Amino acid sequence: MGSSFSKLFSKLFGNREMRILMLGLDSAGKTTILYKLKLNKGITTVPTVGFNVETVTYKNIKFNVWDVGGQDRIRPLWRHYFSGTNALIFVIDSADIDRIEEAKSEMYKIINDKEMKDALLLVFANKKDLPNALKPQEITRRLELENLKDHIWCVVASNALSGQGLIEGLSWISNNSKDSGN
Amino acid sequence: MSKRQQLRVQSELKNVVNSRANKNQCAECASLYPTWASWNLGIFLCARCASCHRKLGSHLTKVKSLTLDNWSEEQVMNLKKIGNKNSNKKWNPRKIPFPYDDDDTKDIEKYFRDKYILKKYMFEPTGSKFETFDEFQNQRDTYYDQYNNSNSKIKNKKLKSSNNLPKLSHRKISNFENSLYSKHADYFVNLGYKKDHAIEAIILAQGDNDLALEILNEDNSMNDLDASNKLISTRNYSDYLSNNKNYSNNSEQDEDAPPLPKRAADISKPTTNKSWWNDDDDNDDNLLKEDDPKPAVFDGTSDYNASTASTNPSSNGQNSNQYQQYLDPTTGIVYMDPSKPIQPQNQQFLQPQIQPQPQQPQQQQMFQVQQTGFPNQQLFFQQQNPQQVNNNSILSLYNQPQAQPQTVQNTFANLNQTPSQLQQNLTLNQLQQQQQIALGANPMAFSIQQPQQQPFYQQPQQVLMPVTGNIMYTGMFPNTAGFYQQ
Repeated sequence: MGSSFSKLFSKLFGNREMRILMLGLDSAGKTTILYKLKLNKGITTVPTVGFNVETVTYKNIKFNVWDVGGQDRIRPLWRHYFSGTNALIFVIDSADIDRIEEAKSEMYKIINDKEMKDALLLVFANKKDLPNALKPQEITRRLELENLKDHIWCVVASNALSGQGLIEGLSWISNNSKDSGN
Repeated sequence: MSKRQQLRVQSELKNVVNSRANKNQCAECASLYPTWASWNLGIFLCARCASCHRKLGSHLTKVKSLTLDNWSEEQVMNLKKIGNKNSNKKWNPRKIPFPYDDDDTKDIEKYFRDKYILKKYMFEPTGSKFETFDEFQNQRDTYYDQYNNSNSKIKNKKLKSSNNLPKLSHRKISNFENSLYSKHADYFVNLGYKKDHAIEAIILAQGDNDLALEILNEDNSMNDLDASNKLISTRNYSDYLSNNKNYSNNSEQDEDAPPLPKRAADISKPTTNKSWWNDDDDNDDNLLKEDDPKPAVFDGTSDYNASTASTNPSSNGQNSNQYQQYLDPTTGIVYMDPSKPIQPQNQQFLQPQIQPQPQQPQQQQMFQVQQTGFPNQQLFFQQQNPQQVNNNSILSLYNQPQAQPQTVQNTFANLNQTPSQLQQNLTLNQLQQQQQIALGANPMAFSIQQPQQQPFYQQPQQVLMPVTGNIMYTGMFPNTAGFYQQ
């Protein structure tokens, strides 16, 4: 009785939990984004070897954000975090133009995986404050996201140090996950 | 990339880490076994420095793990080509030390920003003035040695007689001149002058640091720079005007004079430690002139004769009180023999350049005192300065290098001549704090004098006091007075 009541309650008030996986190339800013969301502080991060998990609550939704290190040799480990993921946040260093291609190939490797076929795709075009940063439209073009049919995607320009764009990204996830969440 | 190729690159990388230029060290903090590298800067990094490097931004430094990342051949080649040693030579030729601090990475991040973004540690003039006292102190220590070396080489070279200061033309400095004088010019660059100007000034002054500084100062004052620069320029320029005659007259003789015998490199250097203890009524004027008799040798143990005998007769022949001076090479004590007037040809002066006229009466008095021979210093001081009898503890600064707080207070009181105001509740700590603030407020003023005052004291904390007292009078004391009254 009690459990069904709490289920009803959570359904009514949208008290949901989401599992979010945050991936991207090394030094794109994943850990900085995570701790900006969690602590609202721009901390000095050490390169992540392994992963960080934090729970961020926003609009009654608990986001379990997994942030996994992005170095070349630990990228094969990403797939172990895929199962049960509601949304993928792919972080791109929009000033690192040389490695956009590399980021693109990594991203397609992830979203083409069987376990990720239902996941939302949010791309953070991070470090937008840098002078030579690419615009989100340009990132969209370079990642060829227009041709992506089997995922709901969104590109948000962000700045992890000031926090610009992060909340917009999370609210996009919460708005678009209603269908898949229920 | 095939697996074989990767292995080859990996082993190449290992060789590069262990090469002679890299020594298996972090380029920044020199800790052993670096696990990261910035391949575009070509340096190896420890984990902490790598994380701080990443904060600089990936557009400046491309940090990669030696073990967790795959390396391409050209990245390894870049590491091999540059390496820790060359990189530091490029970005930190002034050898600013790394801020070792285990807990806080803020200092390290600031260090990296200064090093790679602001390029403060390079020799190129980037308009870098010292922002903190520590920074200034670091560079003072670094440049003290340099100043010492260059100064001794050119000590006996003086500009040929000319009544006007040569003026800078702001011409472009050729590569050859640049290569000749760039090291020398760094001293001036460090004082905040442009490198080109500094080089030109050195050329005009024929290598004389003091004169070059005056040329630069005058140039600055003509171009109306900021207030702190102005303060220095007016001071030095007035010095120059008052000493101008000596410059011209000395020049001929100084060329011939052989270098003085020296005990240690720094012992025979002239001090700017004017007679701050010689408390006249018009202190301010006195301090600006910088022309009181100067103790040439003071090591804290020698007696009074030794410390004042060095008051230097000016060498222009108009002075009747000229005596042969002897520097004992083993003790560093200067003796003076009044029975032997100097020979114009083979005279040796301790401080050939600066000894203007107004000084004469006092000088004579000193010599008389010396000849009659006072048994101890305190007696002499009573004679010289009646108002100081009560607190002649100033001298105890000399007698006892470990001055008590009480002594220091007296020092300040004497300088300021308002003892009642100053002595309320002053602790030594406050004084030191104060001192730091005052120094931080205008490090430039201090830097002019620092090369000379350093050698005489073992404990800068206590001894800076009288010296800074001097400087503070020239413009800073009004600011700090408020601090006292709090």
